[in-house]
Amino acid sequence: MSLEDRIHNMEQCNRCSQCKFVHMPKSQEFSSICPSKYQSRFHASSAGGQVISAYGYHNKLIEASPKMIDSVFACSMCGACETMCKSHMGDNVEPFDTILEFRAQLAEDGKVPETLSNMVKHLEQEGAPHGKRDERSRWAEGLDIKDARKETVDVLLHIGSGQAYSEKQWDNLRFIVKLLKSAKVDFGIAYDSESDSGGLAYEIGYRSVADKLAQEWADLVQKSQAKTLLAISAEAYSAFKNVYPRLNKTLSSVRVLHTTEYFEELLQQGKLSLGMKNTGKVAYHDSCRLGRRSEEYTPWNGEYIRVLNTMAVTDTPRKVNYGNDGNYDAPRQLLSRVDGLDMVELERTRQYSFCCGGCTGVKETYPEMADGAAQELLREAESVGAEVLVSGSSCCQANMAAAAKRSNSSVKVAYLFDLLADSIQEGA
Amino acid sequence: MSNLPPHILKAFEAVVGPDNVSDEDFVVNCHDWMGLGADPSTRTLLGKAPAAVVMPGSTEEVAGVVKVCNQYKLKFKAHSTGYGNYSGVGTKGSISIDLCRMKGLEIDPESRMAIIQPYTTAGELVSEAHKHQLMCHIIGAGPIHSPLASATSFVGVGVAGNHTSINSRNMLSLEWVTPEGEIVRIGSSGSDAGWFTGEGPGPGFRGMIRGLYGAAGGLGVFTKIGIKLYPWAGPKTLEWSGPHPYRGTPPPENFATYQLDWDNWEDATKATQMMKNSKAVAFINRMPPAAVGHCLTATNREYYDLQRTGKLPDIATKANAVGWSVTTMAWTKAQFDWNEAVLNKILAETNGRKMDISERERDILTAAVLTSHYVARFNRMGDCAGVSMGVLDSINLIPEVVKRTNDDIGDKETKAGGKMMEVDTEQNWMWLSEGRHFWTENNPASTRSFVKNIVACVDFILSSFISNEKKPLGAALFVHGEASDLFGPKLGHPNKWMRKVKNTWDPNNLSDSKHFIQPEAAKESKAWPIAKKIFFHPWGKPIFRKILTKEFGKDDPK
Ligand SMILES: Cc1cc2nc3c(=O)[nH]c(=O)nc-3n(C[C@H](O)[C@H](O)[C@H](O)COP(=O)(O)OP(=O)(O)OC[C@H]3O[C@@H](n4cnc5c(N)ncnc54)[C@H](O)[C@@H]3O)c2cc1C
Ligand code: SF4
Ligand code: SF4
Repeated sequence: MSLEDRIHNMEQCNRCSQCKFVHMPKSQEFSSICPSKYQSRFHASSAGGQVISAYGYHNKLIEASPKMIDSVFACSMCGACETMCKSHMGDNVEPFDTILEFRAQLAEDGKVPETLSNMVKHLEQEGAPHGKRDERSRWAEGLDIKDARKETVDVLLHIGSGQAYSEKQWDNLRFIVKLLKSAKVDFGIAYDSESDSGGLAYEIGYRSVADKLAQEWADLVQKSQAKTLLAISAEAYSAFKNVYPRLNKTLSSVRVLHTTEYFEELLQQGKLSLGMKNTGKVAYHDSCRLGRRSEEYTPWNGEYIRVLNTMAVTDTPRKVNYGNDGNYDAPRQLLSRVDGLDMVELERTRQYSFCCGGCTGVKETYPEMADGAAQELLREAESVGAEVLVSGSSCCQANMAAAAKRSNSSVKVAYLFDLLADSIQEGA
Repeated sequence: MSNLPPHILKAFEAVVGPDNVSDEDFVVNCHDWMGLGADPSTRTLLGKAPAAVVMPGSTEEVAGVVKVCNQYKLKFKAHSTGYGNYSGVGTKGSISIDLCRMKGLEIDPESRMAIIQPYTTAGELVSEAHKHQLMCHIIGAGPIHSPLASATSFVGVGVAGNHTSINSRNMLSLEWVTPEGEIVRIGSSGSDAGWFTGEGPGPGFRGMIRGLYGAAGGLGVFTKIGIKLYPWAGPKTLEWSGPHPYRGTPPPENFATYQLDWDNWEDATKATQMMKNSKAVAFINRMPPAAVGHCLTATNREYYDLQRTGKLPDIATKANAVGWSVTTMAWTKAQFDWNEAVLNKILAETNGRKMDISERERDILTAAVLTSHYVARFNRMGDCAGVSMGVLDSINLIPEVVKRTNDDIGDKETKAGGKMMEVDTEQNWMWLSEGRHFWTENNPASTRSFVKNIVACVDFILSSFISNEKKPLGAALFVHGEASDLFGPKLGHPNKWMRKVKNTWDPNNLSDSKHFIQPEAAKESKAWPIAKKIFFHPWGKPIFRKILTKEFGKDDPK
């Protein structure tokens, strides 16, 4: 796939702006869906705008000015545009796929912001966008976890760079380990041989780095003989399901689950029982990587042909993603197990969720963009009366919590497993 | 980067702030993209990019921007949501005034109206109005367009029109930045008496600013309007059923949706009059069967697979060639029952029937008429379309209009092997408006990917205009820009009045008038009465097509 292959799709963009708005808003205040357009306001920063820029760039009608590069990379790759575009346009346009190819082209042409290209360099060297390879498993010291490189395990954990290197996150990693142990799960980790899934490098546009990281991990998974690959980070979960198929990497020997799905399964099977109590109004935020961006991607290499005189259709049937099959229910079910917890829904949920703006290096490169999007979510949570805004992604949680601190928001932001840990009653 | 001198950019920045001005190529190109090839071209980027995009945040800032344009004699054009960039910027090097920072929306439930700014979308207005048991008119362009742009500047016919009229008439009081940068309030807001009427104090203005079809950017910038809302008996928030993108709206309590069907348009028209007289039906909408098929499917491939295997539901085939989708609305069960009884009686008296539809089909048809959500799937069928004249006139004309459009394309391009999309029936999108009026436009989809197809589209558009001119079929609304001088003389000369208004308010011709009217009629329009006789004579057609082919071939970047 390349930008050249996407010309047909680009030319189908009818500049309808559906990619900026939720399917049918419940209010004017929370009608936006694209964090990038929401902040910069120029059409150019929406998906439709990026399609036009990609088309102009590909046809050598425009150059990659520094401002254009910033505009492209301030997009958090949340995929909302793709879902919304399909409200009307089916698979005619698929702007997200064009954005991916646009970035790959810009990366090939050396037009990537320095912060991001440095992150990718670090990924190449250390297997993580920051931190040293030999420090990746420091969080696990003294926990006596099986080494999946040496022993067979049923469940192989992928920790993810965000949590592995952030000491603040280690408590909830340990809580997850505690739960696995109490459910008597045979699990292990790959210690310092774990590396980033490759999803970040792919989304920034560095295909060969992504390919290498993904291949290494796919080989390790294969070798481990695990039956389940348990992703703790939402980003890695999304990469395994949505990016690996684009890279032709197969994880077919394992079931890929996110921790929310796995623990809900254990609870349903009675292998784990948690007495949990917590009071307060809690809203759950559907992180894009756990939601629409975790829908399994099915590669398709066909062509568009003309039928009925003029209509463009794919020459062979293909599976089209609509964002419906993300992981939306398991986190809600987990939360509903907490006694006394009053769940409220945000206005924009599930595949129509508004992204917190923190992903794909946006937080590091354009902090004001990530802050603006997170502030919008905090306002949304306030508007439905939530006291706590819960996320199943530690990356989103960190971004939104920092934003809440900056704006003195009345809403507390919690990582789902933190909230569960806090809710466990004594004796449970 | 544009050639705009830095001091001019600075002047704009001084008005709106540096973050709200850009002359970067990637920004201005986005205002040059032709989303739907209704401005015939094989291209998507038209090569008419503005010199800069400027985003004012208030009426005063709009006036400031317009004054800078006047100071430096720069053309400008207002841009609300830019749906399809339908009427583009028009002139290379002009200033695109993007109003996306102006999102004001205030509902005045007592007066059944809203006060809106340009970037309030129809979807937002619907949602907020429902909370007050009100609804707005919503045009076929769907929830993402600007009702302000529609009311002031661009046609305004829409799916819900039987209940909610037409936006040209829904516009109440108005705030306007004239082409020279003066802020004017017309109607009641002009004397600080609220936004509830456009007629006075002072003269009525709707005709003056709209001309035949809307100001289309040619008369300055409209910054705020009062807009009429209509009663809504449904819930405060619409419910949705089914997975995305097959979502539909189950008819709310005391609502019902049906697909009605008759043997011929004469019977259907009689029933239409009865439905109108009785007021038993609130919403009356006709999407041609192929469009219904696109509403019910998510991709072209899905539509095509069903079509070629004969598995499309009846309502998406010629079994539904003559019919309306209707939705009744009632506040009480008694009223609901009355609506049902009256509708059944009308059907019995006109040989009509309710077609069998599944719940999903029903919900999607309901969503289409209450939110106009799925009309935009028309864009999926083709990236350009022929558009007939567009008739807004008495419902008595329905049978004749359908017959004429059948004749116009029936033997030509929509059969297998033709140059427009192959379909079973004519492609009239019809919806009722207030009084005895209905709107229709015949829109065969096509593609601009090939020169021969775009040529066929242009030929179709002009042929249907000429046919309407020879044997008038009601007022044609798509007469704008250069076409006003070609076809205006047969329509009571609106072009003359539009030109007078234009030249009075915009003596420097800075408000880009490509889609409204030029200060002077083009020379070509003088030659038109003879040219059309030559080109549209059966012998002249091949020559005309050859000329177009050459023109578009030149244009074709592929
Ligand atoms: C697929 C499709 C379907 C459509 N269906 C319908 C339909 O059913 N009924 C109908 O009436 N129209 C229809 N349209 C035409 C058009 O999109 C609409 O009329 C719509 O109202 C335009 O709104 P917008 O926000 O996109 O306006 P824009 O595209 O932003 O502007 C439209 C025109 O109005 C001018 N304008 C916009 N805002 C202002 C302002 N604040 N002050 C001064 N001038 C302004 C612009 O210069 C331009 O000429 C359709 C278009 C498409 C592409
Ligand atoms: S990307 Fe899709 S939703 Fe966005 S403007 Fe283009 S066609 Fe519309
Ligand atoms: S991926 Fe998200 S941020 Fe980027 S253009 Fe699409 S909706 Fe906007």
